[in-house]
Amino acid sequence: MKKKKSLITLKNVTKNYISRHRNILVLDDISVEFLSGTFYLIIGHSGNGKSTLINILGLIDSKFDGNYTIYGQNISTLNDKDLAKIRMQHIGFIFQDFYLESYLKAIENVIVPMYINKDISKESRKSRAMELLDKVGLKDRIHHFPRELSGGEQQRVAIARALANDPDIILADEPTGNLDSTNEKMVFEQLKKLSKDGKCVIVVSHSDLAKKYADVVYELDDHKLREVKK
Amino acid sequence: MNFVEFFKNTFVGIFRDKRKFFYVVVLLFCSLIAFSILAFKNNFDMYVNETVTKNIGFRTLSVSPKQDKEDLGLSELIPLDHVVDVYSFMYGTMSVESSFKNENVEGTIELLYGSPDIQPNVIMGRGFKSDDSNVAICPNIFYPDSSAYELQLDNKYVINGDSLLNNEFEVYYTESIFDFDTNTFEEGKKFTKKFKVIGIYDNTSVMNFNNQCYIMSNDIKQMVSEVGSDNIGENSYPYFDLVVDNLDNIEEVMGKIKDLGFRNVSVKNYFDSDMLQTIEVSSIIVVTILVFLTIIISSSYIKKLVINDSWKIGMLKTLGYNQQDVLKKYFGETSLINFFIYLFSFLIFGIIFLLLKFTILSFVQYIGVNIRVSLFPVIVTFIIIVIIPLITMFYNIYKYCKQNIIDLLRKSDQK
Repeated sequence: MKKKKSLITLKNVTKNYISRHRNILVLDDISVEFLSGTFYLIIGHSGNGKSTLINILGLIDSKFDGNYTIYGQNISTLNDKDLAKIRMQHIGFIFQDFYLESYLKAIENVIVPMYINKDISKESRKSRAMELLDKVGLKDRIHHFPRELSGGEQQRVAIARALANDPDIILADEPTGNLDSTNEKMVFEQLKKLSKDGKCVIVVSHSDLAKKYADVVYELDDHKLREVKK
Repeated sequence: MNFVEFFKNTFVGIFRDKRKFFYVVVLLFCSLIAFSILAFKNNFDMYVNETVTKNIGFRTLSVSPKQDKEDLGLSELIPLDHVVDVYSFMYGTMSVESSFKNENVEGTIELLYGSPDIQPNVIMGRGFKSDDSNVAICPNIFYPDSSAYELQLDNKYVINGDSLLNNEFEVYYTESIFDFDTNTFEEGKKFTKKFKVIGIYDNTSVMNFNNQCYIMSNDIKQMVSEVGSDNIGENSYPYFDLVVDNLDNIEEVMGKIKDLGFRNVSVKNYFDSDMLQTIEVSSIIVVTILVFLTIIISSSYIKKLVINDSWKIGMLKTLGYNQQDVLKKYFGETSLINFFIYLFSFLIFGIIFLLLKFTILSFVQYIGVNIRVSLFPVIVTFIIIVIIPLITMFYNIYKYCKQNIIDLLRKSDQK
């Protein structure tokens, strides 16, 4: 079994919002480590900061107190350009609303992140995208537009797109929120496969089904993160 | 992404995205209108400047003389401000036979009163100097035949300015003696005079015929006197041609002449200045409205596009696009699309323009209108269709790029 690497470390991370001149605490002194080859599930009541946590992990929210290290690098020293580069190279995002471009076909949506990756040549983009869509079971739907795909299929395209630059970290914020149970199962199976392939998969979900697939479950309760025994 | 890929993706996007397609069609239409109206305005301004303003006929007044004065009031007119020259109308023009006569053309040419202050814009050679004599300025497309008055030129026998310049020609004219007994004119002495062509002018720009050459005032006065045309009969009286230095001073000079007691003062070549002014003002209003409308349409569309696409900007950023990448993508797409619209509309405009110029509007050259496309409509349309939308796009994208990714993504929920 491959040795697990530490990819992300949060130390004493606290997040506040200012709303109507009031300071609202969202995350309180969170310290956690995320390793490669692991499926993490973060659960908790609605509105208690799960999405905020995943946004911080995904470097799309950099306004917080505390220490965040990714691949041993402290992000407080990095500018927007550097953060964008890390997202491009190491992080793949999956959202509840898919966020696919409606006038691009499935294969074209998957290629979008590759345009800014100089490590992927122009000639290999198409074949790589086809490979990823095949991996998520959409080999026969590559030339379809999002409107021609079901919700589950769209989410799988979004997963393929998240994998376009071969990131080590996959973040999924309620990836099955808009899907039926069949598609939900398919998506979690895909995510589980990715974690078995060595990726660090972090999922925020209300779904009970997700617990079956997770290796580690965290609960965000009263602004604090604690591990829940499976 | 290389340019070819970018080009392909941008144009595929136009045809797949209905909003973008609609934008292209509307802006193409606006661009075509812009080219047309700006070209019209430009040509109209050039016509007024070159043809009306420079046409000597439009700044020549016909003035009835004072019959009770020995010199018919000439000495009162000459010293007036802005008056370049005053002469009897009889010296204005003289129709003569010439050495251009052959089996194909009659050789009939018309000589016009000229001087350093009364001459057309010379396009080859030189203009008159004050000590010149026996020299002429002739048309670039010279046709020495009376059918030139009907604008019927046989192109085979036209003489080009190139071959005319610096050549000499002779004119032949005959003294006319009025027999008071029979009330008829009889032919008297025959005269010959030689001229050298020192300059060539574009007759259409000053609305002259193709057989009209300018000669120096002293030459035409001599010739008219020799044929006796300035002998005034009992039942006729001359009027003066009075040349003003500038079109803008016409009204002032006319007023002064009337104040001096002269009657029947009018502009020799009438043009409807009110109509010209109406066209001028209307075209300015139309151009202004068009420019603003096009700017509003393209700016509103771009702003709306960016607002609607703000979640896409957020998505691109989560995929690893930095601010520069996002700006390049949107700025590049807008540049390509708008430049394409501009070029395509220019092509369509060019085809329509050439078709009109050489078919329906080919007659206008004979009324001094030379239709052409100058840089003015080309540059202004480029600014309206390409530059201003680019500035709008840059401003809006830059504004949204600065926003938080989460806020950008949330805008999709508000759609």
